[in-house]
Amino acid sequence: MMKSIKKLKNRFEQKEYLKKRVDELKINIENWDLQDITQENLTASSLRVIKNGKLGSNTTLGESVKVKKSLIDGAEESAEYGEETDIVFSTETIDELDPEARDKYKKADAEKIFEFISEVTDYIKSKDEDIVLDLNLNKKLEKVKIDTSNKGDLKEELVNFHFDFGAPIPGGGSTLYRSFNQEKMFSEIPKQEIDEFLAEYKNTYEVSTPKTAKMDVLFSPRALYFFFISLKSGISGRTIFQGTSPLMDKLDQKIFSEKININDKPQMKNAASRRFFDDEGIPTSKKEIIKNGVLKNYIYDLEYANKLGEKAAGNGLKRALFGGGISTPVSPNFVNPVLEPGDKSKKDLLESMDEGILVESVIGFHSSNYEQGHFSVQAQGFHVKNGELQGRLQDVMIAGNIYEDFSEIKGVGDEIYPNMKGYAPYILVDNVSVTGK
Amino acid sequence: MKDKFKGLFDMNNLDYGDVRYEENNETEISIEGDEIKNIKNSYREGGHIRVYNKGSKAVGSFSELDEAFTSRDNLMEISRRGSDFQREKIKLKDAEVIKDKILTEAEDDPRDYNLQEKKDLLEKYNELARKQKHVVNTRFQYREFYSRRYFMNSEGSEIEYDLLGSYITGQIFAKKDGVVQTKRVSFGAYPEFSNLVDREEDLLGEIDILQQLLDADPIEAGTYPIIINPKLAAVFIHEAFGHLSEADIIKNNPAFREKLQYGTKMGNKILTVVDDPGLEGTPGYYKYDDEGQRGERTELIKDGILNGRLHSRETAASFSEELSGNMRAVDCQFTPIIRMSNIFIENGESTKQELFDSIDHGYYLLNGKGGQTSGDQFTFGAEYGYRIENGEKKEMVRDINISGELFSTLQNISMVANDLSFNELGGCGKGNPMQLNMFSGTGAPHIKLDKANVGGK
Repeated sequence: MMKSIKKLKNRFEQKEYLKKRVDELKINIENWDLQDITQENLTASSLRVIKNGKLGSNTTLGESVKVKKSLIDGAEESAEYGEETDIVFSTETIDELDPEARDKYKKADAEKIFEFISEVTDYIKSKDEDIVLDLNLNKKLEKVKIDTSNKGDLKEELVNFHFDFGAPIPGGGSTLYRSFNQEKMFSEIPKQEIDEFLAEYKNTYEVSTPKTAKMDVLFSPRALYFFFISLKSGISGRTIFQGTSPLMDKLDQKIFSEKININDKPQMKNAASRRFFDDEGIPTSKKEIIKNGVLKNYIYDLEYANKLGEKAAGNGLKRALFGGGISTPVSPNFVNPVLEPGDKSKKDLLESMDEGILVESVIGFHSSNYEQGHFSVQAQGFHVKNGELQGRLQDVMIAGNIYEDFSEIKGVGDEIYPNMKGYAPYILVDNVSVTGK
Repeated sequence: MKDKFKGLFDMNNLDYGDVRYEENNETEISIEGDEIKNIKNSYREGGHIRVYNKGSKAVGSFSELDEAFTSRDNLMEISRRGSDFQREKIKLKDAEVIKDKILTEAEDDPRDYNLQEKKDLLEKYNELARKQKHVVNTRFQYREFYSRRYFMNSEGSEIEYDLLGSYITGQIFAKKDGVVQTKRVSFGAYPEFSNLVDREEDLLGEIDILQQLLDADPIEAGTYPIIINPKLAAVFIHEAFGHLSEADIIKNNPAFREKLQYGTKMGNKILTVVDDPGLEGTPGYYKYDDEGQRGERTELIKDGILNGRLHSRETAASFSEELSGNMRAVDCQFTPIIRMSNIFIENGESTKQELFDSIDHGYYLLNGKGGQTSGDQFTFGAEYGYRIENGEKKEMVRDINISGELFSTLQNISMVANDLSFNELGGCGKGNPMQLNMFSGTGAPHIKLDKANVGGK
């Protein structure tokens, strides 16, 4: 495909060809039993072109002659109707093809994966054979190549292993879980995390619902993905340009508690979303977003950087609210946001609560006006009294706005853990509206 | 296509195998403000293979035809390793061998219109919205998906079929005194393109609501009797109950299997819930699912009693229940999973006015704004609502989310009106990775819940 794309130099003023090859294997265990083995071997491509000053794009899956022709013709047709643009496709050169990545992926064969799963399940069984254990182990090898008519030539190959275990709340409800990401196959059982999880999980057997009131809420790292989604919407060059961001004209102003520090760390080792360059071939770099509660930077892709007279710095990604992929248009996104750790252990934070809730997961955030920071979600987790977990929450909602509720917070946990959108510690927020009994 | 896969499943040690190959065309146009953000006709192809070996299953997606055989070999090897780990050996429900070819015929086929015509239509709606008072931004999208599918399995089934649908969605932003509110609008065409044209009056009606939302107060959080309109009741039944009627959700959850046995009283006698892929012109209409099974009408709840479930061949065998034909994949990159086709609450006998007359202090909530379910816990948003006082509709409220637990909430449905209607646009997200399915429909009449947990300010 690359050769035929290179022949296009006379057909368009500029072109940008992105090719992603994903090889992935996922093993899914439900209630101790093997449920799914899923393999993916997919090659997907995207072509953006500029013709007569207008931007066109197209995407595809596969590499047949029909696919190739449709990709190029479709991009040309798209440019007929596209917007006029001044953007300049990447001129960068990056080679991050890690020869060890493929080896790591291959060496973690089915036998090794099932061996590790057996060790983990045996360990958990020895501690608590009554829980309904769910477990996932994935390995993923992703090779990305970008070639532009401006001599942009970028390639990277990244491997990542993901492992999570958990159990549904008794009687139904969400699955409580812990998850781990790393760049080599797992070899050691995370005994400490398992032990802590099982101890916490025992509190799910009873229901304990607080009365409707404003109270302390301890957000777990796993629940805080909704915070990243709202914040991303606020700092995106897209919403800034369109005038709908609640953070317009707020650069260098305090928007959160001074205890909150957030950086985008695209090249953080072991992160599942690690990238050396974005989907437009712009090198990624660490970016300060919030420093001591003060907003320091917005994020841009090529288009909005151009429109706002800023410099794109590697945040143009084909990601959407749920997933994304090759056919998702590029937009400004976090690569790997990290809410930096503070100085309080989870134990300290819990013990400082007279009455409140520990929120392990939230349900329904996207039905709120989250782009404006609003949240009105069902909270799953635990009722806390005098620093002790009392039982699981049932029919409890929390509501507020991240730009109000997180402007004063009580504490930040000293360790970060992965969630669906990045990494975060435990965060204790006071005076949050909780609807319970 | 048959020749390409010849011999794919001619091997020893194979319990069962199937392959689905797709050639998919998608048209997407999106406009934000006064700019076209995305406009393209794209094509993609690829396949998905499933093998069952020694009571264990492995599935894989591939984008090159010649990778089908390599993929099969890898899957056979992995499933052999996995079979030692398989506590309950997987069995499949016996099924009919089907050879058929059935393709969509539309009177006003969206594929007969060119990109320019579709763009013009979308721009017309966008410009109309942008002219309205307080509107600060708009996002409009046209999407059309045509999927030509070929299915064959090791038992001899061979089916060629397709899916065709298109829709227009819009999100309109209005701002007044620092308050930003949004309103969604959607027109669906399954598959008739004519459903998408001449909808200016509908669009203006939605924008009128948006303008009123700017002056509305957030709803006061609490527990109230509520009436929910058909659009929202349809989302409610999909989110709160529909997902738990999908057998793969509860298969490995002993608590739910216990709670959701046939014959269990789920609600009052007035409540009947159906899943039906046979309703032509609705988003969830299809004849065959992606496991080569006929789509069947299933009465999930009949007169308040749990009566049916949505199945794959695997779960039908595991539960010893009937096949329903609900295994569907949104694209060749994904394995089929159990999905609702068109789920709806059947008409009741009350009038909408009788529902209002029964409430002294409560709320009338309208239109779904997304929802999520996790086990038996659900949350979904309403776009707007009105306070009800002594049976009368009062001022508008906003920022409404409803949450609860399925089993008690279903019991709280005390009245069902006789005005069933279906949402024009289909949509459902499920799975990991998430499969967003535009071919999943919902419907309902007005319903009353005696009490609901409403989150607001």
